Amino acid sequence: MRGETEVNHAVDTYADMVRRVCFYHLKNQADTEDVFQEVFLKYMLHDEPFKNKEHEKAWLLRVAINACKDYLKNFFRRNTVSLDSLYEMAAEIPESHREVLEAVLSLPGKYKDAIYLHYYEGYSAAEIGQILGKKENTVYSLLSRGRGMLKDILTDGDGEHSFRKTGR
Amino acid sequence: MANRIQDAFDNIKTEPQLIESTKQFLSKKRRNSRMPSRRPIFYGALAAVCMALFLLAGIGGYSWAQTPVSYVAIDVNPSIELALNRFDRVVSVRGYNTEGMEILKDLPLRGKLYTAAIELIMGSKAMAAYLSEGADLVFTIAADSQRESALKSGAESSASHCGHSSQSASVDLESALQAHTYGLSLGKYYAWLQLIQYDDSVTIEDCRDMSMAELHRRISEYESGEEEYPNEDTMQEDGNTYEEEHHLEEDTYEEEHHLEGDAYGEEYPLEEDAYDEGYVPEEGDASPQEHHPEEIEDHGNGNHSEYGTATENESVSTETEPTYTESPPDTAAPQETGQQQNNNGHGHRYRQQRSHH
Repeated sequence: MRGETEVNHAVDTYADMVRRVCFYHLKNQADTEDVFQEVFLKYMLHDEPFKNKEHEKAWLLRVAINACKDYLKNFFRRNTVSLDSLYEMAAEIPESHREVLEAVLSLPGKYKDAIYLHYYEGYSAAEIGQILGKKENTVYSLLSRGRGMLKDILTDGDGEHSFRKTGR
Repeated sequence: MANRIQDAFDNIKTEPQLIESTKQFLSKKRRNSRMPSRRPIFYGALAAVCMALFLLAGIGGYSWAQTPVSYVAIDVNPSIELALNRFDRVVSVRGYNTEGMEILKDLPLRGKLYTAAIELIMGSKAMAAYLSEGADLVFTIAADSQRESALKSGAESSASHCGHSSQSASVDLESALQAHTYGLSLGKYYAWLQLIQYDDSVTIEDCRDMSMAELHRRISEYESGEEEYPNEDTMQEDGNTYEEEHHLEEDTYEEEHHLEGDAYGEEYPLEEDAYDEGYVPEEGDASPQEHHPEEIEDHGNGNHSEYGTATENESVSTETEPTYTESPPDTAAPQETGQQQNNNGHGHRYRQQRSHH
């Protein structure tokens, strides 16, 4: 078990990152909190030392993504998804950014991971492949397809509108 | 595009309360998780305690089953003692002399039922040499009252199985322990106890080497010797009572004479004769009062045939002394009174003589 100061430091350092992963996977605050805490609990209980900061970060990313997926896999969660909280959260975000985020959120899960890891965290396709446990080429295609979908959504105002409509 | 996504995601910040609640959650988990880390120790301790309990129960049970509660000693000349547990099984055997050890040397007796053990011992070649005609086979049993009789009959029956008659005695467990401290088998210790009642000089060492037959012979010698003493005692006692009674009778006589006046006067010398010769000890237990009339009868029978009538006897015996002293003149035949009167002088004289004595 990791020391309290180390864990607290990790929470402070990686909170935003984990929070973002939770954000684009999960749909409400309560789920986010559950997964968020679970990720750092796993970190606390993980005894193997990390090679470096990058390794630690990649580990946390993978754990967070898997935790979100596991959480969504849960039958009970899958059937009681409430979209309301998503828009409550998004409400604080400026209009221009909200548009992009909503576009990203509308993508299927596997594209969201690749897009987020590539465009926000700046990982290469090979690194994303490692984190997600996928082949590099798969990541390339995920990225290109995801990018295409985002473009479609963002350039097409109707798409955005219809997303909102369906969401509400 | 990349910039837009980055900018958009930059807006996503962890709420401070989420960080705070997570830290609290983690520290709570940390505190709770100390339990699991302690759990192996706890379970280990529990397992150890259980093991210890099992061990203790095992050791306790074993020692419980291996504790001798009764002893059966077999003595001929070889002295062997079986210590039995509460299931009447042999927990240990001990030979108290070289002969006994010799017999036990090759016999696997531990754990056997005592009857089986006795039969094994009886059947062994080494033992057969000692079980000759003159030998005394003695079982001495030390056990609590519940087991004692059962063990006794069991031992005897298993001996008779092997064709040997046996004697058995039982002693209390305390004397068994006593015997062990003396290094003597129970049977011989018991015999020794009997023997030292008669002869203090017999030591335990002497006993150890003596065969049971010899011990018994000596005991019975002393016992038969002892039998004479009580007889002598009773004889002496008889004599005493006789003397005493005699004395008493004399007294009563004196009294009678005194009270009756001269009535017995002439008879007296004759009566004295009767005392000396005719008195027999069997009358010794009679009390003076009872004896008194009988005496008269005696005298009457011996000297005056007119005296010994039953009616007279009865009337005399039923009356108390004071009345009796008066009665003879009334009840007696007229001739008697005449005689008595006649003897007045003699009786008086005799009394005087006696008083002179």
